[in-house]
Amino acid sequence: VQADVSDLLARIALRDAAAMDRLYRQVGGRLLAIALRVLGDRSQAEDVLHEVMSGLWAQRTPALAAQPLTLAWLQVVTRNRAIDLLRKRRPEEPLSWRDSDGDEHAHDTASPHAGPPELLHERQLDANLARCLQGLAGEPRRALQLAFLDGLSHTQISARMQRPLGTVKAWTRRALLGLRACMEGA
Amino acid sequence: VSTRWHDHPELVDRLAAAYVAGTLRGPAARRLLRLAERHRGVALALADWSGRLAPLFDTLPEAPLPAPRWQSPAPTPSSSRELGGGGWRAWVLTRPLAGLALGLAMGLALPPLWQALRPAAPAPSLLPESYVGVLATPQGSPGLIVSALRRGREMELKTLAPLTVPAGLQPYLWRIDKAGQVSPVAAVPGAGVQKFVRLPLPGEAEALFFPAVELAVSLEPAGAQPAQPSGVFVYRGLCGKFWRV
Repeated sequence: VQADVSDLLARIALRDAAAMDRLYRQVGGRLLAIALRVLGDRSQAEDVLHEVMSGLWAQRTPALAAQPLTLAWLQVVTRNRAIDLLRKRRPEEPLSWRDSDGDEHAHDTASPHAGPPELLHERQLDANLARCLQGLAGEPRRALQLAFLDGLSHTQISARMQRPLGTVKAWTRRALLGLRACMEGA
Repeated sequence: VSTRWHDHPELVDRLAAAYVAGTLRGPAARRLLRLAERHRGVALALADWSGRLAPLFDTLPEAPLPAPRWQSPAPTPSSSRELGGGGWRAWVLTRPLAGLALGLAMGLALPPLWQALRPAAPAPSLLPESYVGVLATPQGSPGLIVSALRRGREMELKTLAPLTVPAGLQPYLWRIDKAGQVSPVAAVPGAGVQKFVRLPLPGEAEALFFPAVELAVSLEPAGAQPAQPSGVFVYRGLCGKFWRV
């Protein structure tokens, strides 16, 4: 899939509208899922997807000098656009709330299902990353997941996990260093 | 010891990791992104961390795609400038047409203008047989004019919209044939930076430009001889053949 997407991204840089259509069909659902996870609001997540796709065509995607555009970078850009939009919300908006129908909602609820390492294993997506994630202690891994997938800041993670801010910062930093050392040592 | 933090690989790596993890926010994140546009070390660190962590995104269940916004009625010319109006699909489809129109308009306007502005010295009634490319910026404004005599071995480039060329990169000229195939022409140092540059061609213009329906410029590592562009085009536009037949 990655090779295919790289080809499509190269063709989009050459203003190939058909490649743009195909990329949207191929990865749009994945990008939308990323924005949806952060925002918890489908309409706003669709706005982010639209903005990312428009930016891609307009060559406004943040550029990395001498590096080709990749799906991985586009995913990070999508997550960060969603975080930007989240920050524009009213600061007093709670992390969890009840809507007019009485249904509970939350921006960052813990999944009742398997966590990322288990899902990576299940879906055979990246065995090396899954193994290295498994090697992290539970709380640092959870802090990294809340930052990476849910778009929470250190302060929000600290509130969510009821741990000191400094501890959360140290966890995420050590988790990242540990992941890299593990993945490169594989 | 350098005082610029981006000269310290460990610090760059730490910031890049935090950015990709989502914990680097605000002005610090924006500064890192700006540096990534110019500094290969910063860009490489961000690319590495993205590749390392991005598989985590694949643990999210794919969301069903919304009905494409571009199924809305075609935008009017004025609304097509607003991305929020007709959707990106409409914008995608109208943008090349705008570029084409710009290229054609400039292609038609430039020769008579050139004639009109030439000194009163005796002049031939027609331009010498030449290739002329009128390239636009990604925003659709006139960016660069490329010209070469049909049998010449030099080209001239006039910058209309200047570029910022990051250290370690240089502009590179490409030709695009009618099948959309992109082929390298030559590095064009100074293009987009100097108002006017004359550069040697790696062969006769006829051989290099005859298949071209468009010309484009990307930024490539200095000294490289790329087979394909490594990034986006900074200029792109029509290539015309100025001779009868």
